[in-house]
Amino acid sequence: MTAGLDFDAPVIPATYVQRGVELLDARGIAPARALERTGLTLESLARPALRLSLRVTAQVFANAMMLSGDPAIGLAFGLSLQPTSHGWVGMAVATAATMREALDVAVRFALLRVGALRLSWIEHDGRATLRFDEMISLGPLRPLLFDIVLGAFSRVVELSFPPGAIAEMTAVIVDPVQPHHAQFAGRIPRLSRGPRMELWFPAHWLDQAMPLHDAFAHREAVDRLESETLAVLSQDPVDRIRALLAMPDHRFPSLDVVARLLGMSSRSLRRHLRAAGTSFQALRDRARHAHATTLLASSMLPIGEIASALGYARVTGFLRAFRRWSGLSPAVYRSRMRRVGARAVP
Amino acid sequence: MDTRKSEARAPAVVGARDLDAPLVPSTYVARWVDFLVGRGLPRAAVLAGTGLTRELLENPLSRFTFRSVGAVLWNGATLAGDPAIGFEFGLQLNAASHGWLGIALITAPSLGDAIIVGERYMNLRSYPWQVRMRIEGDVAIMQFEEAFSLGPIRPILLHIFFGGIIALAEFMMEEPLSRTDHEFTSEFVPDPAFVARFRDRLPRIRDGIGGNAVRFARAWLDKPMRWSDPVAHREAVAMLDEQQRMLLAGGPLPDRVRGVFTEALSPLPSAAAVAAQLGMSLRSLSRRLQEHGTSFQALRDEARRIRGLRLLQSTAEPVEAIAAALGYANAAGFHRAFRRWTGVSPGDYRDGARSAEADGPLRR
Repeated sequence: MTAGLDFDAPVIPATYVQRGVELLDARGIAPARALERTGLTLESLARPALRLSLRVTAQVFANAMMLSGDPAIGLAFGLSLQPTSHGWVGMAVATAATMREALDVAVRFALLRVGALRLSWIEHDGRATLRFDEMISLGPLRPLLFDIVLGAFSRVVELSFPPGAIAEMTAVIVDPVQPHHAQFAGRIPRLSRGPRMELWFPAHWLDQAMPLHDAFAHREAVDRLESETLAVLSQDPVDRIRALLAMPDHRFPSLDVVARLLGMSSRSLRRHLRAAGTSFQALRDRARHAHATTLLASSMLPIGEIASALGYARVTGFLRAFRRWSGLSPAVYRSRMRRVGARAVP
Repeated sequence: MDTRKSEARAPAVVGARDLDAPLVPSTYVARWVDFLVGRGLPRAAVLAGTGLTRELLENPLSRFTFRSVGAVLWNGATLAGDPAIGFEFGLQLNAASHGWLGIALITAPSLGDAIIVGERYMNLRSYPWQVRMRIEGDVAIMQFEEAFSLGPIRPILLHIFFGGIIALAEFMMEEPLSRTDHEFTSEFVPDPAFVARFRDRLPRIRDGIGGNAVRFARAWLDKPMRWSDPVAHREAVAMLDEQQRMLLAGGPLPDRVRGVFTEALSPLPSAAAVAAQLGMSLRSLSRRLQEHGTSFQALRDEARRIRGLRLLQSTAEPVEAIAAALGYANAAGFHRAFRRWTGVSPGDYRDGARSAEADGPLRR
C-alpha cells in the first residue's frame, strides 16, 4: 500500500494544471477564472516539483468544462500533450527500446502522473491490452479524466507509429460514447463500451522501436522516476525526504520547504525523523556530500562555486564539512579523482 | 572520405589546457563503447590504454578529457576496420542522446528557434565545433567553426557530428535530407562507395573549400515541429542555463564570456563590466581572449546576432526597439550590422521569416 491514494494527497504534478490553464488562456479564459475555488494562482503553480491533490486538479478541470462550454475539452487537452509533457515518465516511455519496454515503465510509474488510475497490460491472442483500474472511485469526473488519458495515449501513438496506426486500435470506455468523440475521429481509436477502460492494439506493435530509443537516456529516466516514487508515494517520510534531497534540481531545500512538498507540518516532520533515529540535518548533509563529490569529480567549478551550489554561505563552512565527511580537503579529493579520469594519451 | 585540407585550416590552437580539461559527457563515450561492443569488438580492446574504466563510463555525471576521448575513438576506429564507423555511430544517435540540449531542440517551436538554442548551448556538450547560422537570400547556412585543433581524430569526429546532425534533422523535419534540396559542404569528400552506402540519408556533398556547413531552404526555419512543447522547452532551457552557469564558472574564457552574455539582460554589458564580473582586469581579458584566437568585440557581435535574430523572429517589437535593446545607439548601426550577418535588412528578414512558410521549399 502506498500513500497518495486518496483525494487529498499531493500526487498530480502541477505542470498538468499549468498546461490546462494555458490551453484555456489561449481560448480567451483568464487564468484567475480557471483556477477559481482552488486557492491556486498562476504564480504558485510555477513552483518546481509542486504536486496537487486529485481534488484540486479535478476542480480545475471541472472549471474548464464549465467555462469553455466545450464537452471535448478533455480530449483536446490530452491530445495537446506531448511525450515531453509527462516529465521523466514521458522520457522513459519515449526512450524505451520497444513498445513492450515502454508499456512496462508506463505501468510501473503511472501513479506518479494520473494518481487515481492503476495500469496493467497483457498480451493475448495477437492482441495487447492496456487496462486502467480506478484506485478510488472517480464518480462524475470519470468521463473527463478518461478523455484526457485517451487523448494523451493517442498522442504518444501518433508520434511513435506511422500515420494511420491509430485506426488499428480500439478504446473501451465505461461511460457512453459522446457526440464530441466524433470530433476527433482519426486521431483517437474507435470506441466501444465495457466494464473498465482498456486500450487494444495489435501485439506486433510490442516489438516496435520507440521514437527516441536510447538505453542511456532510458536508464537515467528510470533512475529519476525511482527517486520520484520514493519522494511522492512512499509511506516512510524518511525515504521521501532522502529522495527529495537527492534530486539535484531541488537545491537542498530547508526543512520548511520539504515539509510543504510532503504536505505535512514542519513539526510533525521533525517528530517523524526523530522517531526514525535521524534528523533533517543529517539527511541533508549526506545528500550534500554526495552532490559535492559529483561536482568535484566531474565539473570544473572552483571550490567556492561548489560551496555556494551546495547552499553554503561561506566557503570555510564547506571546507570544514567536507573534511568531516571524507577526511580530505575538496582540492585533494578532486586531484585524486582527476588522476584516475584523465590519464590517457592518444 | 579522405582528410585533405584539414591541416591547412586548423585555427589558432587554444592550448593544451583544453585537451586536458574534463569536458566531454561520459554518456557519449559510453554510447560509443557500447556501439562497438554491439558490433562484436571486445570491450577491453576498445578501452585499452585509454585510462577509462567501466566504472568511470557508468557514472553519467562524469566528464572526460579530449585526450582520453581521442584515445577511445582512435581505438574503435582502428579495430572496427570500417571507414564509415563514425558516421554509422552518429546516425544512430537521437535527441535523447544529447541530454537536455536534445530535449530543448526537439521541443522548440520551430527549426529556427531550435538552431538558436543550439548555437547558444552546444558548448555544454563540448562539441569541438561551434555552429553559426547565417541567411543568404532563400538559403540558411549553418557553418561549423572548429573550436580547437583536433589532430588525427578529426575525421572521425566530423563523421560522428554529421551523422548526428542528419539523424536529428530527419527526426525534427520528418523527411530525409537526401530527398530535399539540401547540401553539405564538407572538408572530407566521400568516395563513391561511401555515397552509395548512405544514399538514402546523405544530402548532396560539396567539396568544402569554405569549411564545413549545411545549407538548406530558409523556409524550413519556420516549419512547425511535431514534438514542440512550450512548457517542456522552457524547462529544458532553464536546465541548460543552470548547467551553463555551473560549467562556465571554470571553463575556457571565451565560453565564460558567452555565459555572461547569455545571462545579461539587455543591453549587452561592456568589456569593462564583463571583466569585472569575471574578476579580471580589462587588459588581461583582451589579452587572454586574443590567446584563444578571438576578441571581446567578436564575442559581443556573436551574442548580438543571436539575440537580434531571436528577437526579430519571436517578438513583434519594432526594429528600433530591438536595435536599442541590443545596445545600438541608432537603428542605422543595427541595420548595417544585420545586413553583414544575414545579407538582408531586419525588416526584410522578419517579413521573410513570416512569409517563408507560404513560399514553399527552396527554388534555385
